[in-house]
Amino acid sequence: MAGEAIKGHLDGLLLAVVAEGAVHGYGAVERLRARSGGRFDLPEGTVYPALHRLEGEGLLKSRWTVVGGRRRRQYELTDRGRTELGERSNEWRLFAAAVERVLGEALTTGGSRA
Amino acid sequence: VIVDYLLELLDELRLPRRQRRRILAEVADHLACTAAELHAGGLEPAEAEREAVQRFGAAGELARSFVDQEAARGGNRAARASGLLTLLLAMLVLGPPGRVFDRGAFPEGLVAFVLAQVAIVAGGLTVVRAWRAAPFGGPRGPRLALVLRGAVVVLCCAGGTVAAATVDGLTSGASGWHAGAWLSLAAIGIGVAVTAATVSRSWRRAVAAGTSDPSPSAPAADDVLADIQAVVVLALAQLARRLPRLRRLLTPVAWSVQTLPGELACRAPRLAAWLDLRHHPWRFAVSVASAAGLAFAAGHGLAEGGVSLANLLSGLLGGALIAGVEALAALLGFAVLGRLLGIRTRTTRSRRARTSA
Repeated sequence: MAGEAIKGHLDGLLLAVVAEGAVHGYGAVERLRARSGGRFDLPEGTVYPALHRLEGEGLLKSRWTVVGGRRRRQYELTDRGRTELGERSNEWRLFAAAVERVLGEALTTGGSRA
Repeated sequence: VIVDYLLELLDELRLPRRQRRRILAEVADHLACTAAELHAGGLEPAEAEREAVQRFGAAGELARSFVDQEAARGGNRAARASGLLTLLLAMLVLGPPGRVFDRGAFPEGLVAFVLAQVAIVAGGLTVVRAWRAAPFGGPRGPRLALVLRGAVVVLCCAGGTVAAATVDGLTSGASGWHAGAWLSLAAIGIGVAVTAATVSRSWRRAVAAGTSDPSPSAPAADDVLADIQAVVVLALAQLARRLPRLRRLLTPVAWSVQTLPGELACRAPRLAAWLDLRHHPWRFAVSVASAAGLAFAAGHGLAEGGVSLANLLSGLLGGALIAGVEALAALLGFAVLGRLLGIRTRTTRSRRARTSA
């Protein structure tokens, strides 16, 4: 999927992958790619401004860790972040279900006409 | 290749040193991880680094995202600080505790009173504009410039109020002022200092992002009415989200707010044209100021003499003078600060030029 298309959903997607457990930026990109089956292949650098913004909003928290002698910034979900993720997931489910109903009906109608 | 990329990023990141260091460390770690993975997959080290950098995206664009984001957050902070200062000023100068200032003294007391009202208008606009941009991470571009200008106006007005009230207090002697008044004044003074520091920092971030246009002559790319409408709807939506029980009540209210200008234009076109903030903002400002002056006087009449028709009428009669002064002050304030605050978008000359074109 093109990077532009997922830009509006990037915050929610990042909250979801960080919810799996503390992760650094590289790991978040890896999880995003793995969970989307390789469809979400955006310029990797774009996740960092988003991670910093989410941290600024109090949805994520971060700390330095040392892994293999290298310093890494690990991100974790805060309680507010968890609540926000729940709300976003519910909103997305309702939206996706509505789109599915409309598109499904259009496909059925189109199919029957054809 | 990675070092060159990091140097380019460092060059473009116009942020505080601590933040810059953190971003560089994170990016360096990410690029090293990607390059190591690609190298393990069979690429030559140099080729792996090039591929890692390419996957990461352009350094300039990344730096721009961070700088813009920081400027927008600065706009939010400036709006919050100036909003709190406005609230403090309104409570201490115009509210019931306002009696701590000798408002009757001329001219200092009057200056403090008028400046506080200008601060309320500027502060209100600033908060509304920042709040409307909140779902997008904060105000950006021309909106950020308007937020910062509004915050500066609030600061100047609060500073002027403190100066005028201090002179008033020093000249009115022990009879007019007491310890509470000086404490209130000190509270506003501290608020001014904190807000000044916040706004100055935010201004620097906005200039670094190149998104702020501090020039007062810059055209305002904004619509105040749409801002107010959007913020009310946003506030109602947030309230409904937090209080699901009230959702049934709040949803139609939000809908009414959205459709109110259209309804007014259909049902009372003359009144709608008179109060058209987009095309006749000075008329809107003067009408609202006069109405506020009358309401203030009527309320005062009822509060002082008790609730009765006679008291209401005498309050309204006495309030005509206050309403006149308020309208004049609104007109002057609008003429002087209208463009700066982005509520006067076109001058008569530019309108004429447009018509002749």
